[in-house]
Amino acid sequence: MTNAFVAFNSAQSLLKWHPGFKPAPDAPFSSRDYELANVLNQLGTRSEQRPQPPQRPTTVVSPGSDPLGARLFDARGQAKAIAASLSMHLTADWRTKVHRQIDELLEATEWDNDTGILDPRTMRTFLRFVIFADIKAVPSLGLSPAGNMVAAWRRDTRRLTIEFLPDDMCRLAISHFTGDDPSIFTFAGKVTSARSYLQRESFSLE
Amino acid sequence: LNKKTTRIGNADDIARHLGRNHLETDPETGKVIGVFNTAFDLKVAKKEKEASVNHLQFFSGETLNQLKSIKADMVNSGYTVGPQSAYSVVRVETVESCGKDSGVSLAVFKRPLEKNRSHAGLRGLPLDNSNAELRERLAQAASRVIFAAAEL
Repeated sequence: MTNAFVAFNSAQSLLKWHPGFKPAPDAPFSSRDYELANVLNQLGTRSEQRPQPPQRPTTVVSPGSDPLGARLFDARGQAKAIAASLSMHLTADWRTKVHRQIDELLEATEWDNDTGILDPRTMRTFLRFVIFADIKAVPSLGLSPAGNMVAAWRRDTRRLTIEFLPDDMCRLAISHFTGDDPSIFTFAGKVTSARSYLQRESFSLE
Repeated sequence: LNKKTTRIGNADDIARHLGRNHLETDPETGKVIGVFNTAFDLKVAKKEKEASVNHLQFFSGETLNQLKSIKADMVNSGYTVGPQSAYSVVRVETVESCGKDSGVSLAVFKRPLEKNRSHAGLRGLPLDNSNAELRERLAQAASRVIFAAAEL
């Protein structure tokens, strides 16, 4: 396996600089090696063009220490890294208040072992919604038992709660917390449609 | 009667322990102002069929003392009662009404555990947490009376 790896790399580098290069009959690599290298070269070029997700190290738990604490630590780091990657769209005050709540949510002393740890895909959906809908108001944050990010905002007598799901999906509900109006409005779908839904319901988050 | 099928009367109360992740807080002050609508969600991955609650009238005395006994039992049984968590107290009748208004039949049954004697189960919740109105109604009901666990 090691030899094959070296052969492909060498051939790949040759083809990179000399695409029309033909090996001499007594060359150490066969024509087949060069064909494979050519294919790998093309695949490599394509994957390099794709945006690669940042590699985040995960905490290695030493024997006798708390594995849950390490998982929560990683989840906190991951959530904040996602927020940092979009920081140019979020105000410093907004980020500070959201980070504080994430720290509280993923505090080990609060954790029930049965609860799912924050799914970073739902954190991404939450932030994409905040940026897309140009939301200035800081929400109250929570987590569903499945590990989905939950956010709530209050306006006049109404409360909006959104559970964010992976792949830009969400479930939202608007209700009156004063108890004098039993009406409840619900919506499920893409966060992009949620924005229009909120506009129709005159629920401003500026 | 078999304890496992004993239904709790609708004049009694139940307490639902809620971790920080289910509590709506004021984003400025951090003060608890309500309960999220995910508070009664079943754990789908664990194929949960009922939500765990505690029967308040299992213990005698005032609500505060009843909750203290419930907390003590839960801690004894190894359950995590975090300093930022809370107990929400709801009348069984109210829970049943939330179900009725959302087209679902809800009931609370005694489910005593060895070290958590007042443990009970809220049955009838959709197993996939798909009833959005029911979730919101239960959250509204649970938001009315909340006790901080740290003060018990």
